[in-house]
Amino acid sequence: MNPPELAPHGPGLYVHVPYCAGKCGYCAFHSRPLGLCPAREPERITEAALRRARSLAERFGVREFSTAYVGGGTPTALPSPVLMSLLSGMRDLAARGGFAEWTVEANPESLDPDTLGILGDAGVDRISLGFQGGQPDPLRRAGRNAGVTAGIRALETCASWGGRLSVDLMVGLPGQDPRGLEADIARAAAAGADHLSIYQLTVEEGTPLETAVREGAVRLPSEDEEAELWAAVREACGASGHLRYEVSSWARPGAECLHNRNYWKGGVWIGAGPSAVSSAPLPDGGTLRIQETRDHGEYLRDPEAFAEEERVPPGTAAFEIVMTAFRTREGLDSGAFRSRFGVSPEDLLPETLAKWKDLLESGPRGPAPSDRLLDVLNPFLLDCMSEMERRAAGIPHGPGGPL
Amino acid sequence: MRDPNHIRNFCIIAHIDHGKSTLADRFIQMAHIVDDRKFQNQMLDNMDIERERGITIKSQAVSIPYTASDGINYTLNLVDTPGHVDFSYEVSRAISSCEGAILLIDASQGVEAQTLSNMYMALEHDLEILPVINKIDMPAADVPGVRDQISHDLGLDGDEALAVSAKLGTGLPELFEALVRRFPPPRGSAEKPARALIFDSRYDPFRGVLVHIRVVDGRIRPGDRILLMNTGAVHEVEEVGFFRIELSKTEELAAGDVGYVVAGIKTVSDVRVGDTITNADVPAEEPLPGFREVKPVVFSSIYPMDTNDYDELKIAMEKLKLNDASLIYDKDNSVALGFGFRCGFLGLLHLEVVQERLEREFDQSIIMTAPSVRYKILLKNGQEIFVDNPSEYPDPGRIETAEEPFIKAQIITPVAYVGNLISLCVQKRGVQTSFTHLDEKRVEMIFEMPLAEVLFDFYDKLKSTSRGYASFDYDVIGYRPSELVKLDILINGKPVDALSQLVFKPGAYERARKVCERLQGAISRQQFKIAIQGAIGGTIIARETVNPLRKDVLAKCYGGDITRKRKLLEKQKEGKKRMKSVGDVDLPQEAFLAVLRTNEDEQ
Ligand SMILES: Nc1nc2c(ncn2[C@@H]2O[C@H](COP(=O)(O)OP(=O)(O)O)[C@@H](O)[C@H]2O)c(=O)[nH]1
Ligand code: SF4
Ligand SMILES: [Mg+2]
Repeated sequence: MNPPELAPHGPGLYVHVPYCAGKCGYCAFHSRPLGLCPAREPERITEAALRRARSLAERFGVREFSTAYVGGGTPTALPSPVLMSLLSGMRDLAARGGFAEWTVEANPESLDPDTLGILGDAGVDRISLGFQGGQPDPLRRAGRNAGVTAGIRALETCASWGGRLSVDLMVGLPGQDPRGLEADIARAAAAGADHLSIYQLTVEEGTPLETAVREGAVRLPSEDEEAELWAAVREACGASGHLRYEVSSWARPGAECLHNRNYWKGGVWIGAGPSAVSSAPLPDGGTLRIQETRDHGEYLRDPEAFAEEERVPPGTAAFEIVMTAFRTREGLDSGAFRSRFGVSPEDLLPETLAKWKDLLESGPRGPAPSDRLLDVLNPFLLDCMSEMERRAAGIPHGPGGPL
Repeated sequence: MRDPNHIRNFCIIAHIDHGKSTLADRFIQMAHIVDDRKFQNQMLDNMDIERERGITIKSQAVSIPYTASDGINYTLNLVDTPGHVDFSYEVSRAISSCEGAILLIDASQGVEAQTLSNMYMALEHDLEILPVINKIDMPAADVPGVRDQISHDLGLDGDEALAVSAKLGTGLPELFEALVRRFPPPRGSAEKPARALIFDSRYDPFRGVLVHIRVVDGRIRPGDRILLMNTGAVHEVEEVGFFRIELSKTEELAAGDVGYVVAGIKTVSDVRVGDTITNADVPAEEPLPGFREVKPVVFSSIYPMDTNDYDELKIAMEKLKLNDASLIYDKDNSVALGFGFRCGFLGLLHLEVVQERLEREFDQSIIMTAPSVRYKILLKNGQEIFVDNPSEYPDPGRIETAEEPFIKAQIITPVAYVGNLISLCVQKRGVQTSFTHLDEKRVEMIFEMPLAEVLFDFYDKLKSTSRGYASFDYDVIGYRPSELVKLDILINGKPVDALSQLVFKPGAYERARKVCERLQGAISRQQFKIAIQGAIGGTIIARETVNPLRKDVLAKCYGGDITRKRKLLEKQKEGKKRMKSVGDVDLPQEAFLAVLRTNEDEQ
């Protein structure tokens, strides 16, 4: 079954808040424990991020943004006045009538009714809660900072929230129980989550979890155990009416995340705040990608000077679009692809599409993955990459993007 | 002018690990031709793999100036010889360029199989043999015992044997003196027409082929036109010289000298080890004796991992061939792997060395197919053919009889391991033909057995069964009747030609089961189920399954990590380059090795 068609949204505005209450053992995102930061740094960083957002918008020729997302880190960990002024600064960049979707990430230990009030008053209409799971031991062994009690309390708090709710859950925690995972999904649904981000715990380089796994102190589920966990996810999401519309995203119909969808379609977005990334198509079909520095000192001094700019060539950009579009059940937009790269995906990937035809479907605007393909996407993408490289000459200059 | 009476050409022969390379190092060091700081241990073994494995693969040569106690300056030409059975042809070439041989024997190991076989080879070439007992510094050294063995087992004078420690340098001054006194100067005359034996060649990217020669008669100078007598090629000499550690140019090489010739030779096939060089304008009547084509006994095909790299592999093979005269190859092609080369090797170690050199020195990513011996097949129509490539195996209905090569295996072992070694050889279809007590402790056994059985893990098992004490050597003795079948391996119903092998019929089920099991272990899960089957003719005799991949996808992708996700995929793709797609299935390089190593952990 194909999800209902959605109107495209963009450009998107992302602000990265690089602070958390503490650091989780598996986490490779850019964030620092708030307690270890110099006084007033969060305030100065968020102000710098706003200034930077405005200057990037100018450079990208964006007047107003249709979606916004505040991520991190933990935006809700910010002191209330700082959070309030960040939100009000962002609101000025919205289209008339406000953002079509405005999400703020929250973590259990910093989500109280007051914070929810601040978000609601500012116009935020969607919370993404890092619940991650309700089994104390598996969560603790993975190195999660927030405890389960706080998580459950936060879910209860959100039940009274009037806006949309997305809940994050991890699969593949050490010792995780499939029945417990089903219960977690049911609990999130009961709290009103119309959207679930359910993703595999990945062992990232340089994290304490990596060391623990390497030294045998933590044992991750085996392939069979993991398969059972994912079967439980399928079961529970089926029961709660959440459909998988992207590799790691489930939603009730109509509750898909518009902001993320713009990423997966290769649209225009601006990312402000340390480590954030901005992206926009270039006239040749390639992609301009700007990566902000992670260094807070540098960010405060001159974010422009310390940012890294990359011009992704058209062939590579085309692959990136294939890579992200096939993560969604919606699949590729062949027309948009052809007008950007001057060649249709069907002409660029005839062999791969034929080889994988049993796991492909026809989506609303082009080839799309079946649910099964979402689980084995990597080998499919590697085939795409090889075939696209072979036909790289097939990508002439496209008619161009907004720059 | 050098006086041939002041030249000594000699080699060191020994069972593997008895200390040839170490002794060669000491020679060079004591002769002070190498700066001590520049000195690398085992200078003559200048290939990485040799140094890593501690074995000598290529024979090499070096000239050492030495002032003896009689006050005369001698030139000692040392040729280091390979120590493994696979390379006995190289040993013979090296030996035939010398007048004397140091027969090195480990003081704690005593006489071993290759000590004997190398000594016989030296005697065949009329070399003067100087027995030397090495490693006398070891606590387990038994010098009197080894002297007895030398007298008793070798028929040489054990009391005259020198006792040295190559490692510490003990006894070496005496050894230098002894080889000047004991070894005869080169025979031959500088006034006769030139004759020089090619005993090695090496490719130099700037100068072309560097030909290693021993001049027997006459002289060779720059400007001479030389004729390679067996191949008929003619070239003009550009440079001649001696082997110091670096090449040292000289005006001429004359009778008795060991050195090199550069003659603008660009074609590999012009240089055959064992061939004779003469002067094209004043040619000798007869070439030197002993030239023969190297006879490979093990065959396998080499394919590039990426079919597009065939040309590159071809160049690498040509260059390798220059350094390795015993490597023989021909163009081959496979449905599964595309174009490649069918290669003949002197043995399994030689095969592994070639594989490693292609990968390390020439940076080639290759696949090797299961090694095979060369079978002799008599067809019903009376025609006799030789088959070493399963793809050329005729339809069984056309075959009258099949024969396989047999070897005479010589094993010397302490008495304690006799029982286990006999069972090992019997299990390998060996038939014992002799059993001799060398002394109270050691036994020599001779078996006749199929070469094919020795190819797979025999040597490792021999070593583990005897805790490393048994030694082994073999000679191919000819063909014997066999029962042969072609075992095909099918992946998802399609036969993969590169995985086929010719096997002894009564062992075919067992082999098929093992190969399938190992392939199952080597092939990683893919999006669909993979069936691995072993078949003879149309009949499936073994089967294994690789279950489909359950999950292979990168979790969570947001706007900030598209580059990172793409790079992760690019890395995966790099990893996949080590894979070969056969039909829709990706076979890792190890899958082909799995077939090769099929008997590894039997029992
Ligand atoms: N203790 C001792 N070890 C030695 C002596 N000569 C060689 N070795 C060691 O024996 C091993 C084999 O020596 P190598 O020269 O490679 O033997 P090859 O295989 O005959 O060339 C090496 O580990 C050497 O260090 C010696 O005189 N004394
Ligand atoms: S709360 Fe989230 S961003 Fe913060 S450290 Fe934990 S996982 Fe990382
Ligand atoms: Mg050696």
